[in-house]
Amino acid sequence: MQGTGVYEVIIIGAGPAGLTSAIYTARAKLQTLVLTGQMIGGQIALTYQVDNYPGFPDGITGPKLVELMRRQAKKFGAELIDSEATAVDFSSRPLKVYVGEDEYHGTAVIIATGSKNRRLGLESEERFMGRGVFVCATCDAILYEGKRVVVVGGGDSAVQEALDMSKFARDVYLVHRKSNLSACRCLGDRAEKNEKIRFIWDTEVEEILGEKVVEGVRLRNRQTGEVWTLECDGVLLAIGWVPNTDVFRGQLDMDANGYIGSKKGVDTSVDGVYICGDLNDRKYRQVVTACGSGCIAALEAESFVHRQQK
Amino acid sequence: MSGVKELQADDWESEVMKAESPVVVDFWHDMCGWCLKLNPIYEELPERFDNVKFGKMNILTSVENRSIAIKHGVMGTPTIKVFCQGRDIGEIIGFRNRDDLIKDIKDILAKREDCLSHSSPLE
Repeated sequence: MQGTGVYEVIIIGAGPAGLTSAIYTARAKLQTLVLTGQMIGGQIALTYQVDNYPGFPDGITGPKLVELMRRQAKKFGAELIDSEATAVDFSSRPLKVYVGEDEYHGTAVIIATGSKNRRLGLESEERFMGRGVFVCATCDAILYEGKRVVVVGGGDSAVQEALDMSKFARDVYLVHRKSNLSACRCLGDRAEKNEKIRFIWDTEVEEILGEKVVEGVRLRNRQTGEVWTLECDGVLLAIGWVPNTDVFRGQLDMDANGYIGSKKGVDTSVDGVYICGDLNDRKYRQVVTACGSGCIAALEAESFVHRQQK
Repeated sequence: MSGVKELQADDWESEVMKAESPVVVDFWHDMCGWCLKLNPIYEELPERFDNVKFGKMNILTSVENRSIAIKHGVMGTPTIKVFCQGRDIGEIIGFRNRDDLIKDIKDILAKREDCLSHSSPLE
Protein backbone atom coordinates (compact mmCIF):
# COMPACT_ATOMS: atom_id res chain seq x y z
CA MET A 1 0.00 0.00 0.00
CA GLN A 2 1.55 3.29 -1.10
CA GLY A 3 -0.85 5.80 0.39
CA THR A 4 -3.73 6.06 2.75
CA GLY A 5 -5.98 8.69 4.18
CA VAL A 6 -8.70 8.92 6.77
CA TYR A 7 -11.67 11.17 6.02
CA GLU A 8 -15.10 11.79 7.42
CA VAL A 9 -16.60 11.85 3.94
CA ILE A 10 -15.26 10.39 0.72
CA ILE A 11 -17.04 11.51 -2.44
CA ILE A 12 -16.56 9.43 -5.57
CA GLY A 13 -17.23 11.47 -8.70
CA ALA A 14 -17.01 15.19 -9.41
CA GLY A 15 -19.89 16.26 -11.60
CA PRO A 16 -22.39 18.80 -10.29
CA ALA A 17 -23.78 16.24 -7.78
CA GLY A 18 -20.44 15.23 -6.29
CA LEU A 19 -19.11 18.80 -6.20
CA THR A 20 -22.29 20.05 -4.52
CA SER A 21 -21.89 17.31 -1.91
CA ALA A 22 -18.30 18.44 -1.41
CA ILE A 23 -19.30 22.08 -0.99
CA TYR A 24 -21.80 21.08 1.70
CA THR A 25 -19.67 18.59 3.65
CA ALA A 26 -16.51 20.71 3.49
CA ARG A 27 -18.43 23.80 4.55
CA ALA A 28 -19.81 21.74 7.46
CA LYS A 29 -16.15 21.27 8.42
CA LEU A 30 -16.13 17.55 7.68
CA GLN A 31 -12.82 16.28 6.35
CA THR A 32 -13.78 15.68 2.74
CA LEU A 33 -11.96 13.84 -0.03
CA VAL A 34 -13.24 13.93 -3.62
CA LEU A 35 -11.97 11.29 -6.02
CA THR A 36 -12.70 13.16 -9.21
CA GLY A 37 -11.48 10.64 -11.72
CA GLN A 38 -9.90 12.13 -14.82
CA MET A 39 -13.22 13.38 -16.12
CA ILE A 40 -13.95 16.10 -13.64
CA GLY A 41 -17.28 17.74 -14.35
CA GLY A 42 -19.24 14.78 -15.61
CA GLN A 43 -21.68 15.16 -18.48
CA ILE A 44 -22.15 18.88 -17.96
CA ALA A 45 -18.49 19.51 -18.71
CA LEU A 46 -19.32 18.17 -22.17
CA THR A 47 -22.15 20.64 -22.65
CA TYR A 48 -21.24 23.85 -24.37
CA GLN A 49 -23.95 26.11 -23.10
CA VAL A 50 -26.09 25.82 -19.97
CA ASP A 51 -29.02 28.24 -20.06
CA ASN A 52 -31.29 26.87 -17.35
CA TYR A 53 -29.08 26.81 -14.27
CA PRO A 54 -30.44 29.45 -11.90
CA GLY A 55 -28.28 32.48 -11.24
CA PHE A 56 -26.77 32.74 -14.72
CA PRO A 57 -29.26 34.81 -16.75
CA ASP A 58 -26.88 35.01 -19.70
CA GLY A 59 -26.06 31.29 -19.60
CA ILE A 60 -22.70 29.76 -18.80
CA THR A 61 -20.57 27.12 -20.48
CA GLY A 62 -20.57 23.67 -18.88
CA PRO A 63 -16.79 23.63 -18.24
CA LYS A 64 -16.95 27.09 -16.63
CA LEU A 65 -19.81 26.06 -14.34
CA VAL A 66 -17.84 23.00 -13.25
CA GLU A 67 -14.75 25.10 -12.62
CA LEU A 68 -16.73 27.45 -10.37
CA MET A 69 -18.16 24.51 -8.42
CA ARG A 70 -14.71 22.98 -8.05
CA ARG A 71 -13.28 26.25 -6.76
CA GLN A 72 -16.15 26.56 -4.30
CA ALA A 73 -15.55 23.04 -2.94
CA LYS A 74 -11.80 23.70 -2.58
CA LYS A 75 -12.41 27.04 -0.90
CA PHE A 76 -14.20 25.25 1.93
CA GLY A 77 -11.35 22.79 2.30
CA ALA A 78 -12.34 19.76 0.25
CA GLU A 79 -9.35 17.78 -1.00
CA LEU A 80 -9.63 16.81 -4.66
CA ILE A 81 -7.59 13.99 -6.19
CA ASP A 82 -7.84 13.24 -9.90
CA SER A 83 -7.87 9.48 -9.37
CA GLU A 84 -10.55 6.94 -10.04
CA ALA A 85 -11.88 4.57 -7.37
CA THR A 86 -10.90 1.10 -8.50
CA ALA A 87 -12.55 -0.92 -5.70
CA VAL A 88 -14.49 -0.46 -2.49
CA ASP A 89 -15.05 -2.50 0.64
CA PHE A 90 -18.22 -1.55 2.47
CA SER A 91 -18.37 -4.78 4.52
CA SER A 92 -16.78 -3.24 7.62
CA ARG A 93 -16.06 0.13 9.26
CA PRO A 94 -14.46 2.41 8.39
CA LEU A 95 -15.66 2.23 4.79
CA LYS A 96 -12.78 1.61 2.41
CA VAL A 97 -12.19 3.04 -1.04
CA TYR A 98 -9.23 1.90 -3.11
CA VAL A 99 -7.35 3.68 -5.87
CA GLY A 100 -5.11 0.93 -7.15
CA GLU A 101 -2.79 0.15 -4.24
CA ASP A 102 -3.83 3.21 -2.27
CA GLU A 103 -6.48 2.84 0.41
CA TYR A 104 -8.72 5.58 1.79
CA HIS A 105 -10.93 5.26 4.86
CA GLY A 106 -14.19 7.14 5.26
CA THR A 107 -16.89 7.33 7.89
CA ALA A 108 -19.37 8.05 5.09
CA VAL A 109 -19.14 7.66 1.33
CA ILE A 110 -21.12 9.55 -1.30
CA ILE A 111 -21.26 8.00 -4.75
CA ALA A 112 -21.78 10.43 -7.63
CA THR A 113 -20.23 8.59 -10.55
CA GLY A 114 -22.90 9.55 -13.07
CA SER A 115 -23.78 7.63 -16.17
CA LYS A 116 -22.52 6.96 -19.66
CA ASN A 117 -24.09 6.47 -23.08
CA ARG A 118 -25.65 3.07 -23.53
CA ARG A 119 -24.10 1.11 -26.38
CA LEU A 120 -25.59 -1.55 -28.61
CA GLY A 121 -22.96 -4.06 -27.53
CA LEU A 122 -21.67 -4.80 -31.03
CA GLU A 123 -18.00 -5.24 -31.83
CA SER A 124 -18.52 -3.20 -34.99
CA GLU A 125 -19.83 -0.28 -32.96
CA GLU A 126 -16.52 0.09 -31.11
CA ARG A 127 -14.52 -0.40 -34.30
CA PHE A 128 -16.34 2.43 -36.08
CA MET A 129 -16.56 4.83 -33.13
CA GLY A 130 -15.45 8.18 -34.55
CA ARG A 131 -15.45 6.65 -38.03
CA GLY A 132 -19.16 6.99 -38.61
CA VAL A 133 -20.53 5.88 -35.26
CA PHE A 134 -21.13 8.72 -32.83
CA VAL A 135 -23.16 9.66 -29.77
CA CYS A 136 -23.48 13.44 -29.94
CA ALA A 137 -25.24 15.29 -32.75
CA THR A 138 -24.21 18.65 -31.29
CA CYS A 139 -20.57 17.59 -31.63
CA ASP A 140 -20.52 15.87 -34.98
CA ALA A 141 -23.68 16.57 -37.02
CA ILE A 142 -21.85 19.21 -39.02
CA LEU A 143 -19.50 16.57 -40.43
CA TYR A 144 -22.46 14.73 -41.97
CA GLU A 145 -23.72 17.48 -44.23
CA GLY A 146 -25.51 15.96 -47.19
CA LYS A 147 -25.03 12.44 -45.81
CA ARG A 148 -27.44 9.68 -44.82
CA VAL A 149 -27.55 9.00 -41.10
CA VAL A 150 -29.28 6.37 -38.98
CA VAL A 151 -30.32 7.49 -35.50
CA VAL A 152 -30.92 4.58 -33.12
CA GLY A 153 -33.45 5.06 -30.33
CA GLY A 154 -36.95 6.37 -29.70
CA GLY A 155 -36.78 8.51 -26.56
CA ASP A 156 -36.49 12.26 -26.13
CA SER A 157 -32.78 12.34 -26.77
CA ALA A 158 -33.05 10.19 -29.92
CA VAL A 159 -35.75 12.39 -31.43
CA GLN A 160 -33.93 15.59 -30.47
CA GLU A 161 -30.73 14.22 -32.02
CA ALA A 162 -32.65 13.25 -35.18
CA LEU A 163 -34.03 16.79 -35.42
CA ASP A 164 -30.53 18.23 -34.92
CA MET A 165 -29.12 15.86 -37.56
CA SER A 166 -31.81 16.88 -40.06
CA LYS A 167 -30.30 20.38 -40.23
CA PHE A 168 -27.24 18.90 -41.93
CA ALA A 169 -27.91 15.37 -43.17
CA ARG A 170 -29.68 14.58 -46.44
CA ASP A 171 -31.72 11.73 -44.94
CA VAL A 172 -32.27 10.74 -41.32
CA TYR A 173 -33.65 7.30 -40.44
CA LEU A 174 -34.88 6.88 -36.89
CA VAL A 175 -34.57 3.17 -36.08
CA HIS A 176 -36.58 2.18 -33.03
CA ARG A 177 -37.12 -1.27 -31.53
CA LYS A 178 -40.71 -0.46 -30.58
CA SER A 179 -43.73 0.51 -32.68
CA ASN A 180 -44.05 4.02 -31.32
CA LEU A 181 -41.90 6.75 -29.82
CA SER A 182 -41.38 7.06 -26.11
CA ALA A 183 -40.33 10.67 -26.67
CA CYS A 184 -42.62 13.49 -25.58
CA ARG A 185 -45.39 14.42 -27.96
CA CYS A 186 -43.93 17.85 -28.71
CA LEU A 187 -40.73 16.33 -30.08
CA GLY A 188 -42.52 13.48 -31.84
CA ASP A 189 -44.79 15.90 -33.69
CA ARG A 190 -41.85 17.95 -34.87
CA ALA A 191 -40.06 14.83 -36.11
CA GLU A 192 -43.14 13.57 -37.95
CA LYS A 193 -43.49 16.88 -39.76
CA ASN A 194 -39.82 16.91 -40.71
CA GLU A 195 -39.49 15.78 -44.32
CA LYS A 196 -35.95 14.50 -43.89
CA ILE A 197 -36.81 12.14 -41.02
CA ARG A 198 -38.19 8.68 -41.72
CA PHE A 199 -39.18 6.14 -39.08
CA ILE A 200 -38.28 2.46 -39.08
CA TRP A 201 -40.34 0.76 -36.38
CA ASP A 202 -39.95 -2.54 -34.49
CA THR A 203 -36.41 -2.81 -35.74
CA GLU A 204 -33.00 -3.46 -34.22
CA VAL A 205 -29.51 -2.80 -35.54
CA GLU A 206 -27.86 -6.20 -35.87
CA GLU A 207 -24.56 -5.05 -37.29
CA ILE A 208 -22.78 -1.92 -38.44
CA LEU A 209 -21.24 -2.54 -41.83
CA GLY A 210 -18.24 -1.08 -43.60
CA GLU A 211 -14.57 -1.50 -44.32
CA LYS A 212 -12.73 1.50 -42.87
CA VAL A 213 -15.73 3.70 -42.21
CA VAL A 214 -19.45 3.09 -41.79
CA GLU A 215 -21.15 2.12 -45.04
CA GLY A 216 -24.44 0.74 -43.76
CA VAL A 217 -26.35 -1.14 -41.10
CA ARG A 218 -27.91 -4.58 -41.06
CA LEU A 219 -31.40 -4.31 -39.57
CA ARG A 220 -33.81 -6.92 -38.26
CA ASN A 221 -37.53 -6.41 -37.89
CA ARG A 222 -38.54 -7.75 -34.47
CA GLN A 223 -42.07 -8.60 -35.61
CA THR A 224 -41.48 -10.25 -38.95
CA GLY A 225 -37.87 -11.39 -38.53
CA GLU A 226 -37.01 -9.77 -41.86
CA VAL A 227 -33.32 -8.87 -42.17
CA TRP A 228 -32.20 -6.15 -44.54
CA THR A 229 -29.40 -3.68 -45.18
CA LEU A 230 -29.68 0.08 -45.19
CA GLU A 231 -26.82 2.05 -46.70
CA CYS A 232 -25.73 4.99 -44.59
CA ASP A 233 -22.71 7.13 -43.74
CA GLY A 234 -23.30 7.57 -40.04
CA VAL A 235 -24.91 5.85 -37.07
CA LEU A 236 -25.89 8.05 -34.14
CA LEU A 237 -26.57 6.12 -30.95
CA ALA A 238 -29.20 7.60 -28.65
CA ILE A 239 -30.43 4.59 -26.73
CA GLY A 240 -30.20 6.01 -23.25
CA TRP A 241 -27.79 5.82 -20.38
CA VAL A 242 -26.26 3.29 -18.02
CA PRO A 243 -25.12 4.18 -14.51
CA ASN A 244 -21.40 3.96 -13.73
CA THR A 245 -21.76 1.45 -10.91
CA ASP A 246 -19.59 -1.50 -11.94
CA VAL A 247 -17.08 -0.85 -9.17
CA PHE A 248 -19.83 -1.18 -6.52
CA ARG A 249 -21.20 -4.50 -7.76
CA GLY A 250 -21.34 -7.00 -4.92
CA GLN A 251 -20.97 -4.22 -2.34
CA LEU A 252 -24.34 -2.52 -2.74
CA ASP A 253 -27.75 -3.81 -3.81
CA MET A 254 -28.52 -2.83 -7.38
CA ASP A 255 -31.03 -3.80 -10.04
CA ALA A 256 -30.26 -5.62 -13.28
CA ASN A 257 -29.58 -2.30 -15.02
CA GLY A 258 -26.98 -1.26 -12.45
CA TYR A 259 -29.16 1.27 -10.63
CA ILE A 260 -28.44 1.41 -6.91
CA GLY A 261 -31.18 1.92 -4.37
CA SER A 262 -34.70 3.16 -4.74
CA LYS A 263 -35.97 5.40 -7.51
CA LYS A 264 -36.00 8.34 -5.16
CA GLY A 265 -33.80 9.18 -2.24
CA VAL A 266 -30.09 8.95 -1.61
CA ASP A 267 -29.89 5.89 0.65
CA THR A 268 -28.29 2.59 -0.31
CA SER A 269 -28.27 -0.87 1.21
CA VAL A 270 -25.29 0.13 3.40
CA ASP A 271 -25.66 2.71 6.18
CA GLY A 272 -23.42 5.69 5.60
CA VAL A 273 -23.16 5.13 1.84
CA TYR A 274 -25.24 7.55 -0.23
CA ILE A 275 -25.88 8.10 -3.92
CA CYS A 276 -26.73 11.23 -5.89
CA GLY A 277 -26.82 12.71 -9.38
CA ASP A 278 -27.47 11.01 -12.72
CA LEU A 279 -26.30 7.76 -11.20
CA ASN A 280 -29.76 7.30 -9.74
CA ASP A 281 -31.79 9.53 -12.02
CA ARG A 282 -33.78 7.67 -14.63
CA LYS A 283 -35.84 10.63 -15.64
CA TYR A 284 -34.82 14.24 -15.02
CA ARG A 285 -31.05 14.39 -15.50
CA GLN A 286 -30.71 18.16 -15.07
CA VAL A 287 -27.76 20.01 -13.52
CA VAL A 288 -30.04 21.48 -10.92
CA THR A 289 -31.57 18.13 -9.94
CA ALA A 290 -28.07 16.62 -9.70
CA CYS A 291 -27.02 19.47 -7.41
CA GLY A 292 -30.21 19.02 -5.38
CA SER A 293 -29.59 15.34 -4.77
CA GLY A 294 -25.91 16.09 -4.06
CA CYS A 295 -27.02 18.47 -1.34
CA ILE A 296 -29.40 15.89 0.17
CA ALA A 297 -26.71 13.19 0.13
CA ALA A 298 -24.28 15.57 1.85
CA LEU A 299 -26.78 16.50 4.57
CA GLU A 300 -27.54 12.82 5.18
CA ALA A 301 -23.82 12.01 5.29
CA GLU A 302 -23.20 14.86 7.70
CA SER A 303 -25.96 13.61 9.98
CA PHE A 304 -24.59 10.05 9.78
CA VAL A 305 -21.04 11.17 10.64
CA HIS A 306 -22.28 13.10 13.67
CA ARG A 307 -24.27 10.09 14.87
CA GLN A 308 -21.16 7.92 14.65
CA GLN A 309 -19.15 10.41 16.67
CA LYS A 310 -21.60 10.58 19.58
CA MET B 1 2.70 31.59 -25.10
CA SER B 2 1.19 28.43 -26.46
CA GLY B 3 3.11 26.66 -29.20
CA VAL B 4 -0.12 25.52 -30.83
CA LYS B 5 -0.94 27.43 -34.00
CA GLU B 6 -4.55 28.21 -34.84
CA LEU B 7 -4.83 27.01 -38.43
CA GLN B 8 -7.15 28.30 -41.14
CA ALA B 9 -7.89 26.85 -44.54
CA ASP B 10 -5.82 29.62 -46.18
CA ASP B 11 -2.62 28.51 -44.51
CA TRP B 12 -3.26 24.77 -44.57
CA GLU B 13 -0.95 24.17 -47.53
CA SER B 14 1.99 26.15 -46.20
CA GLU B 15 1.66 25.25 -42.53
CA VAL B 16 0.76 21.57 -42.83
CA MET B 17 1.07 19.98 -46.24
CA LYS B 18 4.38 21.64 -47.16
CA ALA B 19 5.86 21.66 -43.67
CA GLU B 20 9.30 20.09 -43.33
CA SER B 21 8.69 18.70 -39.88
CA PRO B 22 5.76 16.52 -38.86
CA VAL B 23 2.60 18.45 -37.97
CA VAL B 24 0.01 17.33 -35.43
CA VAL B 25 -3.42 18.86 -36.02
CA ASP B 26 -6.38 18.82 -33.64
CA PHE B 27 -9.68 19.15 -35.50
CA TRP B 28 -12.10 20.59 -32.98
CA HIS B 29 -14.87 23.09 -32.34
CA ASP B 30 -16.22 24.87 -29.33
CA MET B 31 -19.63 23.16 -29.26
CA CYS B 32 -17.87 19.84 -28.66
CA GLY B 33 -17.47 19.08 -24.97
CA TRP B 34 -14.75 16.47 -25.41
CA CYS B 35 -12.79 18.99 -27.49
CA LEU B 36 -13.01 21.54 -24.69
CA LYS B 37 -11.75 18.93 -22.24
CA LEU B 38 -8.90 18.05 -24.57
CA ASN B 39 -7.83 21.65 -25.27
CA PRO B 40 -5.77 22.35 -22.11
CA ILE B 41 -4.00 18.99 -22.44
CA TYR B 42 -3.26 19.58 -26.12
CA GLU B 43 -1.89 23.07 -25.43
CA GLU B 44 0.84 21.53 -23.24
CA LEU B 45 2.09 19.15 -25.94
CA PRO B 46 4.53 21.36 -27.92
CA GLU B 47 6.97 21.49 -25.02
CA ARG B 48 6.99 17.69 -24.87
CA PHE B 49 8.10 17.15 -28.48
CA ASP B 50 11.14 18.33 -30.42
CA ASN B 51 10.93 19.20 -34.10
CA VAL B 52 7.20 18.64 -34.27
CA LYS B 53 4.71 21.40 -35.05
CA PHE B 54 1.30 21.50 -33.38
CA GLY B 55 -1.78 23.14 -34.81
CA LYS B 56 -5.48 23.12 -34.25
CA MET B 57 -8.27 23.76 -36.72
CA ASN B 58 -11.71 24.89 -35.61
CA ILE B 59 -14.09 23.26 -38.08
CA LEU B 60 -16.87 25.73 -37.32
CA THR B 61 -14.85 28.82 -38.20
CA SER B 62 -15.45 28.45 -41.93
CA VAL B 63 -16.88 26.13 -44.56
CA GLU B 64 -13.35 25.85 -45.93
CA ASN B 65 -11.98 24.62 -42.61
CA ARG B 66 -14.76 22.05 -42.42
CA SER B 67 -14.09 20.91 -45.97
CA ILE B 68 -10.45 20.26 -45.10
CA ALA B 69 -11.51 18.15 -42.11
CA ILE B 70 -13.97 16.14 -44.20
CA LYS B 71 -11.43 15.74 -47.02
CA HIS B 72 -9.02 14.20 -44.54
CA GLY B 73 -11.60 11.79 -43.22
CA VAL B 74 -12.55 13.50 -39.96
CA MET B 75 -15.91 12.01 -38.92
CA GLY B 76 -16.02 13.02 -35.29
CA THR B 77 -14.52 15.57 -32.96
CA PRO B 78 -12.02 15.75 -31.49
CA THR B 79 -9.85 13.99 -34.06
CA ILE B 80 -6.11 14.51 -34.01
CA LYS B 81 -4.25 13.79 -37.22
CA VAL B 82 -0.52 13.62 -37.81
CA PHE B 83 0.90 14.76 -41.12
CA CYS B 84 4.39 14.20 -42.43
CA GLN B 85 5.65 15.57 -45.74
CA GLY B 86 2.08 16.09 -46.84
CA ARG B 87 1.00 12.58 -45.90
CA ASP B 88 -1.54 11.63 -43.33
CA ILE B 89 0.41 9.17 -41.15
CA GLY B 90 -2.01 8.52 -38.33
CA GLU B 91 -4.96 9.65 -36.30
CA ILE B 92 -6.26 9.64 -32.76
CA ILE B 93 -10.02 9.75 -32.45
CA GLY B 94 -11.69 11.02 -29.31
CA PHE B 95 -10.49 12.25 -25.95
CA ARG B 96 -7.29 10.96 -24.32
CA ASN B 97 -5.76 11.82 -21.01
CA ARG B 98 -2.32 13.45 -21.08
CA ASP B 99 -0.20 10.31 -20.80
CA ASP B 100 -2.19 8.33 -23.34
CA LEU B 101 -2.20 11.21 -25.78
CA ILE B 102 1.57 11.66 -25.59
CA LYS B 103 2.10 7.92 -26.02
CA ASP B 104 -0.27 7.70 -28.99
CA ILE B 105 1.39 10.63 -30.75
CA LYS B 106 4.82 9.17 -30.10
CA ASP B 107 3.68 5.85 -31.54
CA ILE B 108 2.52 7.55 -34.71
CA LEU B 109 5.69 9.65 -34.97
CA ALA B 110 7.79 6.51 -34.63
CA LYS B 111 6.75 5.89 -38.23
CA ARG B 112 8.19 9.26 -39.20
CA GLU B 113 11.51 8.05 -40.56
CA ASP B 114 9.77 5.60 -42.80
CA CYS B 115 7.47 8.37 -43.90
CA LEU B 116 10.31 10.81 -44.58
CA SER B 117 12.33 8.37 -46.63
CA HIS B 118 9.53 6.84 -48.65
CA SER B 119 7.00 9.52 -49.25
CA SER B 120 6.52 12.30 -51.66
CA PRO B 121 4.13 15.10 -50.84
CA LEU B 122 0.52 14.63 -51.82
CA GLU B 123 -1.16 16.87 -54.36
